[in-house]
Amino acid sequence: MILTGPEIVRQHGLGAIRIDPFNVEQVNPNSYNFRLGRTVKVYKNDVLDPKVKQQTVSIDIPDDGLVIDSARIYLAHTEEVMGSDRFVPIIHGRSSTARMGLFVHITADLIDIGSYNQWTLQLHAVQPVRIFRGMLIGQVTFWCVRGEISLYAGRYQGAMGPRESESYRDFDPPEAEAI
Amino acid sequence: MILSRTEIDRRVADGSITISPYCAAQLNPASYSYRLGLEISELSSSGPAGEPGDTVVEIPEVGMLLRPGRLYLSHTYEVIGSRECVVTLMGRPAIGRLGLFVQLSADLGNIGDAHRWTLELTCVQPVVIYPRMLIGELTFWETTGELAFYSGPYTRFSRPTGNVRDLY
Repeated sequence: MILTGPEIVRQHGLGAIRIDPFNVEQVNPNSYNFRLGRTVKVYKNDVLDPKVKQQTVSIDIPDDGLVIDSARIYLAHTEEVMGSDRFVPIIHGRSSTARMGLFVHITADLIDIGSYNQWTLQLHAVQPVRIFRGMLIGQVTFWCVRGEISLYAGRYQGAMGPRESESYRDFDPPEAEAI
Repeated sequence: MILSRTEIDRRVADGSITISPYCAAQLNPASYSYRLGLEISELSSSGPAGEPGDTVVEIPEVGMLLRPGRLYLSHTYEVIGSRECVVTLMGRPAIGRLGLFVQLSADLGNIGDAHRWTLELTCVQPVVIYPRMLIGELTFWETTGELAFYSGPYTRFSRPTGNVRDLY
């Protein structure tokens, strides 16, 4: 079951959903629109090896926007800190961003229950696209859970700003950290 | 409703969800992390995608470089399925952050028999993959209504399988 917009407002008021800052004008019939934060990161390397810790460069999005090109992955972040101990958040692009050929995530749309962060967005443009900080870039839905809940305690907890892949931690040794 | 890790674990134990091989350490709060399989197929560079003639190769233990602008078909290491819940399949955040798509647009499974799922891999920047690496996550959803089981061609396949239009 998916939460309606009024239920998102109610659960936010009860503290079961955290969205900070929260603006009731960003509530849709069954989702909440989030904004793009100010920083993006790109990898220094062209070839990305998941076994290797990758170096990145941070870029502050200028006032007149930043054109992102189609040949790179850009790690961005939500302006809001979001999370829930009770519902599973799933992120989506907005139809207006999708119609510019802009992906807000490549493949991972599921947010863990109990994970509170500025969420990292995996921006990919099919054609060059200009992005602006603070723009309404995506939306989040909240889903009811069946079964006993155990909360996220992983490596990205509390992250602010975009976080690069830490896939190398999965390899050496694979059991070293909670997956 | 989406199943919590406790509920996924319980249903694997009672047999209503199949994940094989299964490792409880790969459970997340509301999903299960699966591994990349051993084989991959690069779609033929000449002609439209989905035509016959694609060859399947083993992914080397030292890794394999995927190039942007190409589509590769691989598969899950695990046999996955449920005759009770709907499975959806996606990449792991750590993989998406490397610009690697693990499925393209079709993330929804059918209720029915278990098999190794074909993955549609494409990358934004060149990226290296390894056999059995943790690559994606599965979520499980409860349904409402009478169940009907998938009887199409794809559950017969447990290797990377392209478009099988001639079976319809």
